[in-house]
Amino acid sequence: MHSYDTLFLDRDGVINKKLEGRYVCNFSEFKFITGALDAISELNNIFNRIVIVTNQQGIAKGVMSEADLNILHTQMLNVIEHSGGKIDKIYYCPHLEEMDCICRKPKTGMIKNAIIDFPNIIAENSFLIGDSDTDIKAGKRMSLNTVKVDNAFTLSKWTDSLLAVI
Amino acid sequence: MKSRIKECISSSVENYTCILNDKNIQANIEKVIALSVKAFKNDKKMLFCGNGGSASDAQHIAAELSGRFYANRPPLYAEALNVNSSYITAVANDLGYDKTYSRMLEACGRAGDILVGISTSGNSKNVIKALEKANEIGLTTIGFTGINAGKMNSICDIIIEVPSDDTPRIQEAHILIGHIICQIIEEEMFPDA
Repeated sequence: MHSYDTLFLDRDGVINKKLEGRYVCNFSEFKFITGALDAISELNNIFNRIVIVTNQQGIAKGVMSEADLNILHTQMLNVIEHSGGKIDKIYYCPHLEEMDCICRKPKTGMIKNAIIDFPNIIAENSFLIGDSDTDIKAGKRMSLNTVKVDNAFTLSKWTDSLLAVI
Repeated sequence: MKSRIKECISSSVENYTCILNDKNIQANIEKVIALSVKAFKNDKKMLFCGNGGSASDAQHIAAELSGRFYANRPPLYAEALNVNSSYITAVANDLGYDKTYSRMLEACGRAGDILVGISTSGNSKNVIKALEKANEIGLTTIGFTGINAGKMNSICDIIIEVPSDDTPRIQEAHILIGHIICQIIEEEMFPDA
């Protein structure tokens, strides 16, 4: 047992750099944010599990396929594992915003699927980290602790602040 | 007197006509049906709750599923949270009325189940608390409400918003929509029945 239960990470803007006006469609466009890799492996030591919850409407728009996304994610996971980190599962929403599905954040379908897959998740000891208000809304709906990161206050900075209080 | 009766009927017809022309509400009804069928096929259940007329809607709709709608077919696991008056009065008396449904939901709700909260105002505290608890546990949350979805709007995965602010009209529409959902779930689950 670790100090904290489940860490829900948004992907773009938290783990990797967002691209201006377009989607990250393949691994050559995927650039880890400084410190994110080390942060993930440090967070593995204090969280029971880490999952990614990411909106990827580029799939519904046809700019990438689910197969493209899966390849990208496999490559991302390889690098994370190589640096000593582990992601337990990746959840993505492939739908368009206007499809009003139940998984696209701020809706909570991806988090609920994680609860089905990992029935022991304890919301009050779990965190959702995102860079947009829709991430934070989804986290709050699920009674998770939420943290909004940006270019200055990154995942790495938050990890340092969390480790400082343990 | 006769004209007042006709007024009531015509306001009801008007409400139904609005729903007939409301693509958004019909799309959401479709989503509720698809999610319910998926849940039942995965051996999950549907729970309902509401107060007053909405409590009877909750148990009415649950009964259409667990009993039968049109077809002779196996039962579907659906139940209303308000049906044990000993439980409701005990929890209301000892812990507060706000807790009545969230506590029962905590007892019987499991991730992957569906909770339908029914509230014409969208603000009934015990229904809101049940929906919040349901989100936390990992149920899919659905709200039946009126035109001003109130607090429900920011809590539910899907909102069925009847385009009226008149409580009796909203409730009539809720039971119509409940019947539609039950009928199509039955057809989808048991095509040969």
